Amino acid sequence: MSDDEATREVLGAVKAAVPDIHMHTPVQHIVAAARSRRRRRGLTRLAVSGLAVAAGLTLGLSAPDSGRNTPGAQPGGARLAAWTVRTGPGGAVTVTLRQLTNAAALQHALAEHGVPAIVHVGDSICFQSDGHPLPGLFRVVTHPPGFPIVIRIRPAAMPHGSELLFSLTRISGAVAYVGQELIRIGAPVSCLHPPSYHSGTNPPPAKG
Amino acid sequence: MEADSAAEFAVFYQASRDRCLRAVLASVGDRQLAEDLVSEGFVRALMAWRKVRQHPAPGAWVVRTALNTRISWWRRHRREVPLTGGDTPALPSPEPVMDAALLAEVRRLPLRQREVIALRVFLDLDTQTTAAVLGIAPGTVGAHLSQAVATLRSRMSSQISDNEEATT
Repeated sequence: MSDDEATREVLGAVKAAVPDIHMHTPVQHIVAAARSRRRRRGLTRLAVSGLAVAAGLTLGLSAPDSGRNTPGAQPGGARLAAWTVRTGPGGAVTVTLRQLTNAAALQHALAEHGVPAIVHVGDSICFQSDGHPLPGLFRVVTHPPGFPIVIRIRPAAMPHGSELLFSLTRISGAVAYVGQELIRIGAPVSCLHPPSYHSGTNPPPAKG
Repeated sequence: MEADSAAEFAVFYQASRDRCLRAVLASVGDRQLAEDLVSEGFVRALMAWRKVRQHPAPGAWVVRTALNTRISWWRRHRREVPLTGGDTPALPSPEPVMDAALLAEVRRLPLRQREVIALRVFLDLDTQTTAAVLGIAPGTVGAHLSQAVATLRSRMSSQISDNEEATT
């Protein structure tokens, strides 16, 4: 046996020795711990908290005027106060989020623009239940920095039989997380709720 | 910008947390401790996200932080928390079962060799990136890996011989 083969054999055995486990800690706990630690240290530039407030102002999930912004998809682009969905010349779809009052309508608008997606809004983060979403999310979705939140989607880069799963999640009432996964259409979806460390799964978001 | 960073971090977390957990578990052997250490690594990564997001392998940054946290924790508690029967607590069911004997040998390796294995095996980093992450020369990465493989092969062979003698 050559050295290379021996190395592959040993490293393969080490890799196989560790079971296929999954981390249960929701990202909210990571964010909350970082925020708490920064607060304890007395930092004035509380980035984590600041982003939560900024995002909350941006998305306004708890805004009382939700009926006013009830959106609907329109040919060539749904032009709305709360959010817009536009298709560019190259086929890329741009979602601009200012407020979000109707996740189902946003989901419908995305479908109209050729983006199969599930949009979930709430205090939980949703993901494909088996913990193994499809690869290639970064080829499909980009998140250029800036304000308001802009999500660019390339529907042509989505694998056949896939859809996007968006989780817009609140922490202490403010939106702090825009999660994305590329999942198989029809795959079971679970949602994790804070604050229980080993929280159970919630019912998945309704489709359509 | 900050909201965008949060989303970016969250995506990074979802994409890399399981691999980081497996890498750290190989080194520490205890499922819950590994998750605690990796969580700590991610908390620190978020607190330093502006820096970490520029890192050539942010997942490796988390793993190294977790392993160094493990050393600090052990140094603080080694006198206060005596363990019996080795430092490998039993895995709570129904977690999948590890190859405990092999991983015990991995844990006996020096830290640098364990780091190289964690980054090469579980994070799939190449030699150049591993060297950059650890701040050592690529040739040194190869030397650590060769030494680790030789040690593990030797111990695995000894175990096989012992098992064969025990069954005859």
